Amino acid sequence: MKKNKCIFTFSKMLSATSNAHEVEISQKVQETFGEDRISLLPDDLLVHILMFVPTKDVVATMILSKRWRTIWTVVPRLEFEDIWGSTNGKHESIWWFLDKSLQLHKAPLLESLCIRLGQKCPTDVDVTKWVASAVDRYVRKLRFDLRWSAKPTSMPNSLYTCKTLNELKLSNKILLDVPPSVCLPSVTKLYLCDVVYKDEVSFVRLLSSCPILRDLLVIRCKEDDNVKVYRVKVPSLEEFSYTNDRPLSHGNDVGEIARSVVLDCPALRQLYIYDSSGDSYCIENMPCIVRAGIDIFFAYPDKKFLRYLSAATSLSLTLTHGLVVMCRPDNFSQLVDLMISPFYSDWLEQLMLMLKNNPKLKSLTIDDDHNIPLLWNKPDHVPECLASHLECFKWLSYKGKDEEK
Amino acid sequence: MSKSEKKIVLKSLDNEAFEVEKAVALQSQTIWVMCEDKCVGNEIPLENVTGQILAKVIDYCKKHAVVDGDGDESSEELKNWDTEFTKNMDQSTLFNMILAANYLNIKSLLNLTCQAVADKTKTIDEFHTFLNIENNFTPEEEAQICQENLWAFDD
Repeated sequence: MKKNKCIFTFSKMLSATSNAHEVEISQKVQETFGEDRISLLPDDLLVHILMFVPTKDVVATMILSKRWRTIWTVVPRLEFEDIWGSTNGKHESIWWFLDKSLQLHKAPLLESLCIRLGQKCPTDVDVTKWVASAVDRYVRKLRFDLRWSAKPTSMPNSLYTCKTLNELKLSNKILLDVPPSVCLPSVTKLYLCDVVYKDEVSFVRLLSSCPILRDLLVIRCKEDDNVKVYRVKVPSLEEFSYTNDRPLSHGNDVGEIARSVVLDCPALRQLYIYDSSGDSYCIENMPCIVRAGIDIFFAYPDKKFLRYLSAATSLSLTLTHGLVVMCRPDNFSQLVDLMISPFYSDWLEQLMLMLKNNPKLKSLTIDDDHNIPLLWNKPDHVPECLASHLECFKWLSYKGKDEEK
Repeated sequence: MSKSEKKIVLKSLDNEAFEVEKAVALQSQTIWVMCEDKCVGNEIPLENVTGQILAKVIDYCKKHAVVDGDGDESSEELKNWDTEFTKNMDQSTLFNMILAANYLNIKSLLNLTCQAVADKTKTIDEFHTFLNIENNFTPEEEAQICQENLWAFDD
C-alpha cells in the first residue's frame, strides 16, 4: 500500500517535471543563462536555502538529483508538527518520519529542533529519546510541545546539562524534574507554558542554573503545578511575561501556604503580567522597569510594586479599585504612553488624580471593554498634560451612556 | 571625519563605480574588513559582483541603514519593503543576489534571499521547475531511493 502511494507521488513529480520543461524552454530563451543555477551554489548555501523550507520538503529533496541525495541530512533545522493530526495512518507516519530522519541526520550541530505533538499522540511512544538525541547533537534551540492524553512526561537528564542550548521552549504535558547537577550556561530565552514541576525546588534550580537568561515567558498550568511560591530570582533577566488564568479560588485551605509570585530581578526592563488567580505579589528588587503591562485582577499589589513601576515610560494597566487607591499623582511622572482598562466603576476621577503630574505623556488609550457604568463628575481641574501636550487619545469599546444614544 | 571620508566608492566586476555613504557600505562585513585594512584606499574593488547586482545590494543596504539609524520606519514597513524587494526577482537574479550577499557577508540579505527562494519552491515539483534541477538518476535508482525511504514520501 505504502509502496503504491510512493510510486504515485513519484510519477506525479515526473510528469510535472516534463510539463514544466516546456515552460522552461521559453524562459531559457528570455534569460540568457537559464541553466541549473542552483547547482552552481556551494553546498553551504544550498543548506542555507533549505533552512527556510519545511522539514518534510527538505527530506524529499533527496530525490531531486545525485547532488541533492544527501544534502538534506546536514540541514541543521528540523521541525515536526502534528498538533491537529486527524487520521491514525498519519500518526504512524510521523513517528516513522521522526525516527528515521533523526537517525539519518548528520549535521554536526543542530541549530534548531521543534517537535509539536497533539492530543492523539500514542502514549506508548518514547517521546523523550528525540530530545536526548537533539542534546547529543549540540542543539541550540529546542521547542517541545506535547499534548498527549497521558500524564506529563519527564525530560531526559542530559537536557539539563546541555551546554549549547540557547533557547528552550517547553509546553504542556511536560514534568520538570530538575536534577541538582543542572547547568545551562548558554540559555538566554526560556518559555515554560502549561508545564508542571516536580516540586518548588525543581523550579528554583532551573532558574538559578541559567546565568545569562534574558527573556522568560511563563504560562502557569490551570491545574496545580506543584509550585506555591513562584520565585523568579534571575539577576540577568531583562524581560518577563507571566500569565496565570487559573480561576480564582476562595480562600486557601487551613495550613496551606498562600500562593504568591516573588520577583527579584534587578536588571528587568520589561514586565508583563496577566493574572486572574488571586495569587499575591511580592517585589524584592526590580529598579529599572521601562515598559510594563499589568493586568492583575483580584490580588492587590502592594505599594512597593507601584513604586517599582514609577520610572516606566510605557504602561498598560488594568485599573482595579485596589490598584487605584494606591496610585499617587507622583507615581508615574516619566510616562509617555499610557493605556488603561477600567475594572471598577468610579475610575474616571481616579484617573484624573493619577494624571496630575505627567509632564511627558503623549498618548492615552482607554479600553473600556468591561463596560462598567461610569460615574462622572466634572473635575475641578483638567490635568495639565491633557490640556497641553497630549498627542493621541483613543477610547476603545466606548459604549456611551443611555442619554447619549 | 571630513565629508569625503564618509563616502566610499564600490567598483563592480564590470567596472561600474558606485559612490555610497560609508555607513551604508559597512553593513557588509567583507567591506568592513577591507576598510579596516588600511591598504585599501577609498575605492573598493568587488570582483565577484556585477554592477546590476551591486546596484540592488546597495538599494537594500541604503534602506536598512536609514532604518537602523533613526528608527523612523516601523519594522513592519521594513518587512513589507523586503517582500516587495524580492517579489519579482527572477531565478537568475535571486541566485546572484545570494552569491553576492554571501561574498559581501551581509547576513540579513542572505537570509532574505534564501527565504525568497524557499518561498518559491514549496513542493518538490516547484524545486524541479523553479530551480531547474536536472534529474540525473536512472529510473531504477530513483525507484530504489523511493523504496528505501518510504518513510520520507509517505503522506
